Amino acid sequence: MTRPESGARQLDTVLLKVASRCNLDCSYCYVYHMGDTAWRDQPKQMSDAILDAVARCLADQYALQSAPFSVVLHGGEPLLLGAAKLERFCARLRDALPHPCGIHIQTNGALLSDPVIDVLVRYDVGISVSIDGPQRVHDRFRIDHRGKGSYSRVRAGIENVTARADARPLLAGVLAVIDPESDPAEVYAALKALGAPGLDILPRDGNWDTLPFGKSAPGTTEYGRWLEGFLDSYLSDPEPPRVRLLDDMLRLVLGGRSIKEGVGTTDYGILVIEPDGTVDKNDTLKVAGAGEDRFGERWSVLTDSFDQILGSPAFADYYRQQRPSAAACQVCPDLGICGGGMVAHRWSETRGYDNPTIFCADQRHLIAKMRRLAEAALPHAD
Amino acid sequence: MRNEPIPLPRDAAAPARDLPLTDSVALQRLIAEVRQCDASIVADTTLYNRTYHRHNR
Repeated sequence: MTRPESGARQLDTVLLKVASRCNLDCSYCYVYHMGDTAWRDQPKQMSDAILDAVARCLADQYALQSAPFSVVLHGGEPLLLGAAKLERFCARLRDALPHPCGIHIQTNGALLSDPVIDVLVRYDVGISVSIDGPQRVHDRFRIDHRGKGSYSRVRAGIENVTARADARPLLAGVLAVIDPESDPAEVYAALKALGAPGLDILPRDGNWDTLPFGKSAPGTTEYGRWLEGFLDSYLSDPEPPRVRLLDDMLRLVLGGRSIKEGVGTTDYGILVIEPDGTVDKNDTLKVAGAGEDRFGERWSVLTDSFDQILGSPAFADYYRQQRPSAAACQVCPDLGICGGGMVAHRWSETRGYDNPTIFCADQRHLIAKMRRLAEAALPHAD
Repeated sequence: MRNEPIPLPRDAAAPARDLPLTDSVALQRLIAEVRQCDASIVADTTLYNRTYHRHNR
């Protein structure tokens, strides 16, 4: 976001890549299976020395900017740190970023043991777990290095959290990657049954040159129709949890504001810190090609401050890139809802990012449905 | 690819099954939040749900 009084940019979210490896080997992973092999050059885990430098940089930035921000422990699989190292990292981060700054972890859930949960409780670390729906859907792609499905382990990890009164409030949500060949109603029911207060769904990654799994042509709506089915299940539910993507889009359709990257036209200041301390752009840009998530200059928490990085022309370019440049988007009546989608999904070899999202037809299908619902619902609202 | 027309949304007419959904708890909850300007939700930059966390997708 932009600091209104100065025009300077602020951090919203820092993705802290504390581990470059993963105990799972999901076949659709954007880190390991979409052509970027940068992870091989990274240390397996972030060291204590790098984490100290990260914490110093974060504390300095918090002192400079008016708004608190969030740090997300990410990977690879961040729980590969183990409970003892996780404790050191969380203690250092919480010391640098007291409340109301947020510390969170995005995990595949398989390593959510009681000693790990104890640490997360101690430092008030929010938990989000990646799980794709019922076992059959999840185990199709979320497999380990021996090709074995991970559902049972992930579900056990989530249950370890929900079984504890002290940990349950930390479970922010579960996050599923869409298999457009699955039944959205079945996926909705399975995710809701896990007991998290929030659900979210993500499309598979892809671009104009490499179509997302299950999408047969740019103009087809496999994802749009799947999302419509999921929306139907959500809106039919008498006791609905939150569904982050759908809530955000519906809020915009209803005249409100969005809170999520990749929806609407709000811009975000997101940076990624690699295990060796290098500072990169949003890591989903890897799906556009190897190295697309890197700044031209190699910044590091060992040598550069966030304030320097946020004030640089390179960051300004990266920040502006969130707004779609394609002519079709500029005249699209749905731009205010769609926002051009994720930057990575606009990529083509011939035009770079100067395209609508590859999910344009899907987005417009879903937005049309939401507009109809909103138009019908608003007169009946209390 | 950019020069291709944006595909029009299918099913432009509201199907009948849309209608019961307009009473939905989730939709009415959002309508109420938007009417209250959802300022508290949007302003909280520490919300975990603020950004697009993703994991090994």
